[in-house]
Amino acid sequence: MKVSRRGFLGTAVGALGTGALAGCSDKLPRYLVPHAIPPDDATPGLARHYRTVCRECPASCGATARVREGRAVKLEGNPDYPIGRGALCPRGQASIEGLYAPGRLGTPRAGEKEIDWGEAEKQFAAGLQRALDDKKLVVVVTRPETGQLGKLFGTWLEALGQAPAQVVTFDPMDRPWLRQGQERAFGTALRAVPDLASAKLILSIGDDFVEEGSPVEQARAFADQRAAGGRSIYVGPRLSLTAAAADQWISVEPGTESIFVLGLLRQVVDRAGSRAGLEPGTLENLQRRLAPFDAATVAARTRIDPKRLQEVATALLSARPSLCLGPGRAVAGADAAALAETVQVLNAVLGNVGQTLRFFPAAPAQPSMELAELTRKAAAGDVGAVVFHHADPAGYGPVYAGLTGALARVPFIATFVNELDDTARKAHLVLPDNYFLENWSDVRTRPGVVGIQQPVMEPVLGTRAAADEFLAVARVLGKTTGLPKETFGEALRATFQPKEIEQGFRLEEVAAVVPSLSAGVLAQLPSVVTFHGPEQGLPLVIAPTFRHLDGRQPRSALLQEIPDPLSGFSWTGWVELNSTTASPLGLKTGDVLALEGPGGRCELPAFVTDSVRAGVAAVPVGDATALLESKGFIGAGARVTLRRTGGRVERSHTGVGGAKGAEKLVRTVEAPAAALPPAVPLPSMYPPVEHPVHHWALSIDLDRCNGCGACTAACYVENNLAIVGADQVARGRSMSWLPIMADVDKSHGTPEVSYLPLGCQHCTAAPCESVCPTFATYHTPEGLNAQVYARCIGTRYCENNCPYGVRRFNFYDWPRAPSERLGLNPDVTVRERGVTEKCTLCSQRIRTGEEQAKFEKRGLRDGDIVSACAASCPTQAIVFGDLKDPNSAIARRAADGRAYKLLEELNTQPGVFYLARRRRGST
Amino acid sequence: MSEVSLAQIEKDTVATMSETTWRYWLALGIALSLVALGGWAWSVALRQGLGITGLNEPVMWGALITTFVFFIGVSHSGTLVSAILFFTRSPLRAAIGRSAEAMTVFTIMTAGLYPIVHIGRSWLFFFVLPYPNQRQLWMNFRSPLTWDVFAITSYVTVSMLFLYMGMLPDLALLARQVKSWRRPLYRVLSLGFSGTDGEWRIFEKAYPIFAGVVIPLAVSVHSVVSWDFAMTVMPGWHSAIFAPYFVAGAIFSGIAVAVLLLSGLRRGYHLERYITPKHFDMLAKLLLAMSLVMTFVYATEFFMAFYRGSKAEMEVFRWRATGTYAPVFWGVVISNSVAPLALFWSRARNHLPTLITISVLVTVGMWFERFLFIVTTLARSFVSQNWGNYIPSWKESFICLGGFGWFLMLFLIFIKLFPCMAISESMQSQHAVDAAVTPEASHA
Repeated sequence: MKVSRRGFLGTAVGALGTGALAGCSDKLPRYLVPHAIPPDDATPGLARHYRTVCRECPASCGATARVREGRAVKLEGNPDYPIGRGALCPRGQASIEGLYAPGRLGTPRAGEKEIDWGEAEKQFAAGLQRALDDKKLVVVVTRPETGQLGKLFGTWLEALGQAPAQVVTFDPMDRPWLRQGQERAFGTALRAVPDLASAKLILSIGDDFVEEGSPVEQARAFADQRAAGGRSIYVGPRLSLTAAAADQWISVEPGTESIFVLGLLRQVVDRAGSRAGLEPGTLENLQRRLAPFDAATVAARTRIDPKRLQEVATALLSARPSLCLGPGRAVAGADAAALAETVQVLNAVLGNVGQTLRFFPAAPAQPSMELAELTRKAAAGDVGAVVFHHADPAGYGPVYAGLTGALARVPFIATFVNELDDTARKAHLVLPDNYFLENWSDVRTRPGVVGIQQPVMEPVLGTRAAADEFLAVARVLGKTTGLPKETFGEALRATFQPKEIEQGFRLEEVAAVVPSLSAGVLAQLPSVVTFHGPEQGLPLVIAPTFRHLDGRQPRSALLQEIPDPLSGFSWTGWVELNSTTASPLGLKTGDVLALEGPGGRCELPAFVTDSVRAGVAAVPVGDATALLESKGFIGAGARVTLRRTGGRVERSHTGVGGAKGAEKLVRTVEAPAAALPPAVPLPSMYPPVEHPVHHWALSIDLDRCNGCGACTAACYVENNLAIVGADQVARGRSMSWLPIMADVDKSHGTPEVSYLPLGCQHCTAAPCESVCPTFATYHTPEGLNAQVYARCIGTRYCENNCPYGVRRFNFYDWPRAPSERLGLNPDVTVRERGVTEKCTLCSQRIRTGEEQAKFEKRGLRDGDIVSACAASCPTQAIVFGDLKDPNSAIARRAADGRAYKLLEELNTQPGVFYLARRRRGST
Repeated sequence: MSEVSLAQIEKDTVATMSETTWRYWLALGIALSLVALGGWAWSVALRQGLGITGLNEPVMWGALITTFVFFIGVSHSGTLVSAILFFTRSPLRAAIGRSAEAMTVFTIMTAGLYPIVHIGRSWLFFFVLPYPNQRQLWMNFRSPLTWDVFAITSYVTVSMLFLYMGMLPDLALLARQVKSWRRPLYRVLSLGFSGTDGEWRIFEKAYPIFAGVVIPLAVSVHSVVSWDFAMTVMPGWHSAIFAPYFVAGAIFSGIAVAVLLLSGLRRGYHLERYITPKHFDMLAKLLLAMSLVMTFVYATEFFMAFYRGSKAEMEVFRWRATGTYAPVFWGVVISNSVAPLALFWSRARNHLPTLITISVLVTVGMWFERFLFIVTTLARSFVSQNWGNYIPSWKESFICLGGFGWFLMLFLIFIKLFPCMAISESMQSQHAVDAAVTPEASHA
């Protein structure tokens, strides 16, 4: 081919131009390390840590981001922050995955078309201007924004000449009945902060506090309460994580939880009402109102043993202070506020108010608009523009069908999102917001606590902060009165001290109040939940889960991959049916059922179990949305019919233990102080193995573990575990290094579920080590069972000889999207196909800790090194440490009478040990 | 055999090499197709990963390892039978010894492929060999897989030498008899053996050494393979009976395959004069004896599981007999323990179709027997939350079938290149017979 000088130059310039364009695009960055010249304070190879706040759910736990070469690679908790106290839930762990998700938008879109930010701002301004010109309303619909961003929306609307109250807080996870119930009981709007840890007895009326609300801190407090000898009773239709962690599970006839609580209240009032210090008249009023609820009537209506009610009342009266919580989502019907009021009365009569239940004055209400009002106005054509901010009503199917339908009459819809959702598909303008790890904000989810959310890295894609776009469009429209001049981040930053930003929060003094019951309390008694929907259907129970919250999109691949520990399903929802309900229908676990409820239909596989009450169908909250009516998002009250479709969904092998003939891995001790019989040392042909300096080990307290899966998720993120997808998980090829096994004990009547995180046991006499022909796995002098990937040829002999079944094989080179590769932990090898892998006890963290100590010219201290699972565990069930250090937390645990090792009789001498679960029996 | 002339022996033997029937081409075609199918399936595994198999988290070894153990088992009887017949100076040896030895070599060559196919990174299989390297990395001598490497390589080396050594006089004979391209080949391979008294004296001294070495080796190899399982801690594997159990099983399946190969050769090349019903009768008796041994071993395994009182082990055996693979289990019992009982009747022993049917049953049964004990233990080990199942995928089955094709291909090529019966030994035994009849004949 003949190339002329001109042609060559032309081609070269063209190529250069293309290259330059590629460089400017807001697609994925081209460089492995984002900074060609690193900032002065960043050293390649060394991690930096930034305190921030996790915004994956409204609980907003404190977080610490580990940043390597300018990219966040792992999120941990913030140990100093009161909410979370250093732990994170699986959802928080998965936020790194959300940050680098392949589905994230990097460019604004007008309909299907990608546009640049300048054009987007122009269109945004034009849309708003049209609404203003037409004298129509501009409304902001936002996820809960408790901090300055929430205020900014009001100011912004005001600057536009709109009413500042045109802000709708969209929170399907909200449980308004709890607030309403408090207000009815005490006559004033209050913020309740329960103190689970100091309650001697917790009575939960279907309140799944380990799954909902602020799960991380509640799970921790609950575990501490149990460790201190506290007891707990759960009343609800389903053995949720919370119920499984409680000492006793009582299931009443679905919908009659209110009768149970009223009966209980009557017992308590009868026996201790006079000593409760109630206002004169209130006691008489209560006695009068509760008269019909004698034990026999209640027992008959709730279908429980009459003695049960008295036992619970006695327990409540003898364990002071106690704490009554609820009603939770699983039992909340249309009349949940009245039931919540009854529960608060119970608390007041028991003297818990001010003790385990602290109240604070509610924050002055931001002027706001109800969702229903927006729906009405939009339907009437009064709304000219709606700006959604991380709110996706269209994604909830029939639940918000009213609003979704009314949006058709809104001429301009803009939405701030991270990934495309159903509302964004209807929007005229889609504006990609920074991920919370790239954004400034603050949260005030608890009286007296201000969490500071600071960006930990430059945006991965070409996204911009939503708040700045609000300001930018106001500037385009020429309406800046009252709005900050600079960026929102700078304005926000100026309101905090550098030290506060460094620690991630600010504490403010707030005085607690001790309210007393209002005189006319229980003016209206809670009614029994009426179930509507198909006549012959089963009552639908909604099972809260923090993995997918309310089922909002997009769902995290990581959280879908990790199977539900009890049902074993991953990548799908399921419908729980009691075996007595399912067996007459010939249903087996995995049979796909078509469910039809008042709101619509969906197909889910059946999970046949004893962990749900007979005669109900329980569905995880996110999967139930298709069935619900548009009346309200959540609550008991729907009825569903089941029809078999003939399909099957196979589960992964990670199933439930307790099968006949199986070895029992979970051990229990009876009374709180009881110990296991001491293990008999077994003879060995081999000389004992010495660990000269350290012996790293893990201990897992089964009495604290509630099966939440935070450890599993943390392990995935820390160790670059591959997500293999639904098909491969069902084939049993999940790569999880620390799966959670459920163990069901049916020997005591009601099933008792224990959860057992089962990773590599780091045996001192490891069966896997002796069989590996290439020395790819060996015992290090520090007690780790190490795996040398480069030396592994994949005989899988080690996996066959592992009695614990914890080794994983790379059947393929598991696919990773280019963006996901940016989030990989650079300290951990990505394993190629054909190689075996398993828990390394986070050897990279051990090295980092050792190097840090060496750098600081000191010895290692207990707590310098924490494995990812232990760091994330909300209940501190997992403790990592050095068994050679007699003062370490793990050494103390090893000396505990409840300590035992799995399959001890095989003489594998595991380094990982468990603490037996305490059985406290029934009341 | 006295009615068979020396010339006839030689003619018949050479005929198997030079005359090629359509049956041969058909068999070779089938063999090559299977090899191609298996090779393609393996190439997919190499390109994509072992995800194409049915293996999963609890069951990490499956059909491929089953096929490995099966071929090691089959390999056994060959050399063992040949060596034992040699020491017992059985006239049978001349007829079946060569095929049996060849079978041994080729089955080991086939078996040896499977560990390489089955490992996750086949391209690094040499990590298990003691090769000098800069980092001074060595294999793990505690691993039974390392023992396997040594045991199998020793066995294949000695068996090959045994086979080759026994063939030397024949090769020398053929180098004189045949023409065409074969002549230089045989001349080189015969290593200048010319049949002098001195050479025969050395040969007769050396040959028993190989025959003597190969017997303990055969026993050791299958014992070592059994230790792949017995040295683990897994319920159903960790058992002291495994070594004799595997050796017995190996001889059992080896005899069954020997019956099939010999009957095939006999029919294909009209060797009825050499491989007589008496030979089959004797093989059938041996098959029956080994079947009884196997039945005893099966019963012992179940008894030991019960006697030991290990919960996990009892569960493995309970599940083996009643769980997902119960049909396989009972099928194995029928084929390996019940069907061979028919051989108590001499009519069944002497009725070739019956014997062939039983041999096929035993061959298939022994494959499934290995499959069963490998899979049921893994699928049902200590952690009940991990219990699972395993069904080989199509591609995995193709790789297994490819092994059978590979073995058949090697054997078919062998019988075209080398005498499948020991000509010189036939002659020796012919001489011995003749000498017994007419003393002068031996000097002729």
